[in-house]
Amino acid sequence: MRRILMLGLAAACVALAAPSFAQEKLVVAIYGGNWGAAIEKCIFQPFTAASGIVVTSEPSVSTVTRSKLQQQKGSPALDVVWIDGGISELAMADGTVGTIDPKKIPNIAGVIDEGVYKRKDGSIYAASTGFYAVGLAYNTKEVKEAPTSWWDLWKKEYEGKVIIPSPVNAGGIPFFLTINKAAGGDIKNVQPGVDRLKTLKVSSYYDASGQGASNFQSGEAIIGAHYATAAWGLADQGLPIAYAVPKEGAPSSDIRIHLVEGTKKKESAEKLINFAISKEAATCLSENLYVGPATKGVTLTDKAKARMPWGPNGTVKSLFLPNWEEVNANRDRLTEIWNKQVAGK
Amino acid sequence: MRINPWSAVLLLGVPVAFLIIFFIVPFGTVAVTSFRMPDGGWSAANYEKIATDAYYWGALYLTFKIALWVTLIVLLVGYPLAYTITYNVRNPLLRRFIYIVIVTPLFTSSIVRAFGWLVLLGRKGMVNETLMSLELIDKPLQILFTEGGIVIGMAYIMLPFMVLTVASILQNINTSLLEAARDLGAHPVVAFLKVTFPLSLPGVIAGSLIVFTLSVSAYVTPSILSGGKKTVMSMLIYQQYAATLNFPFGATLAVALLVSTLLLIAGYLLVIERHAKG
Repeated sequence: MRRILMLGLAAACVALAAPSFAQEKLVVAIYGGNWGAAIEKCIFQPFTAASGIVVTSEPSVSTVTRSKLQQQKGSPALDVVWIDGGISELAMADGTVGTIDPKKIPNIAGVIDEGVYKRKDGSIYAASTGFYAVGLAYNTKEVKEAPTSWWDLWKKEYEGKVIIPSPVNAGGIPFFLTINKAAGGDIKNVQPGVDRLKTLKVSSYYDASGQGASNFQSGEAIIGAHYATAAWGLADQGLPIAYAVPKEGAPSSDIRIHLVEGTKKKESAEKLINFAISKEAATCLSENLYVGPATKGVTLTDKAKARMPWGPNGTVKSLFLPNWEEVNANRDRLTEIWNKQVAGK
Repeated sequence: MRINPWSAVLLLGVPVAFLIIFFIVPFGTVAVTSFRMPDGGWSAANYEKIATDAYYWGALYLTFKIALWVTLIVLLVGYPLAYTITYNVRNPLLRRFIYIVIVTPLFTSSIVRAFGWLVLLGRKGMVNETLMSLELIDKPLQILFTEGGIVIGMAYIMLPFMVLTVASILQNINTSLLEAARDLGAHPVVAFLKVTFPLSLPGVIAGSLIVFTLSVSAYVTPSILSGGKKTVMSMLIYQQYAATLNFPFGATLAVALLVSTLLLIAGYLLVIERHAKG
């Protein structure tokens, strides 16, 4: 009797365990809104269809994802995470992201050098799945002459109708540093940038990209420093919005995929990462979000090509990629300067 | 009435446990974090920074100033509204309908409502367009991204809290007291000032406390309607947690806001208590 019971128990265990073998579930931190939707459409859906591995997405913003990883260190609930450039470096320093092994993730060989992020020892901790940039977004009906320089924002006719990102926005500090650099400053001396920004008559500073977009929609703003992806998103909705790359450079960043350190589903997670940096996935993301592909050999439609963050004729080399370690070390100081001297002017 | 000691423990224990788990413990964690230094040591340097920097005093002052204006406006609009619903709307169905209308906005996220104000108050918004078409103004007023804009947006969100609190007290006032005042020849205004209003004070006090504290801690509405040009404490706290990632300093700002709010409320209640005795 006892034997039968044991056998029964064992059978039950196998029966219970079986579905989890057949259908492993990955928990992946992605972004909210249209970015998350595009990742689900371009990566998760085809990946699940091909591998049978189910992906549960957890929408979040990069800083929150990084905090979650810190809390979960040792026994992570997340398996793969998308984190933006800048915060990715912090997660690496926290020791919460694992190593991307080119043997397990062969597609990494197809990613451009600018999109492969390595630790000091040469091991890879992140791979880019697309670049974005903050450039000049403008209303083509109100702004007659297409802007070419950041200093165009200071033109008299745009007074009170300009928007720029605040330091809460991921693009805020890089934008501040770009203006500062163009004004002749460097990260140690931001006074030239502060002096210029003080005289800029803005309508508002936006925290979230959506806030910036809504200002263009309502006509509150007619020109500003905004994301190429957001500007073209508005254009797709039929609004007279266009985007130009300023000649001083557009501060850029990227959306990066990471393997979580200590994930119990490493094998499946590696398969997902390998798929996410594949040519098909990169092409789909670029066509949907107009992010600059980090994977080599992506062929885009003419429409997407014209809408790349580096402009119709640029390449990744034309982007101004901040030195994130320097930015991260100075975030506190720069934000305080901004609060007191720019926003609180 | 005596209750079984076990029932008493259960009745008290559940809310106390809830408070400990969801307020005391998280707040304790925040308070401890505020003394943490980047090198892992402990120090009160963050508090020193806030106390000695005029910028943070300014942000605290603006936070309370906005919360006070919101409370005042909500009281001035909400009290008459609650009064009218309670005393002048006789039809119970209509009264219920009005309550539903007042409560409905609470079902919508405050983000959506703040974006609604962006549309209404903007340069090309309905308010400015109407004033322009009436030729009351010749160029759009700057309402959006000012203190006034924040106050308008927050007052709208807080109104239901005041109306519901005041109305619930007004409903329970014994109307025979009012009739007695009228029978003795009191003018309706006098009867209101001497009878109804003093009896409704508990509602006014509770309502204003709810509205004030909610306004002090509100984040979404001020952050959207300020356009980053005005900074209240909640925005600074968010900035520290979400952007500069300086959790200890964010925690310090949060503790400073909580303590100063508690002090203000304690002062307010003390004044009222003295007044009530005198």
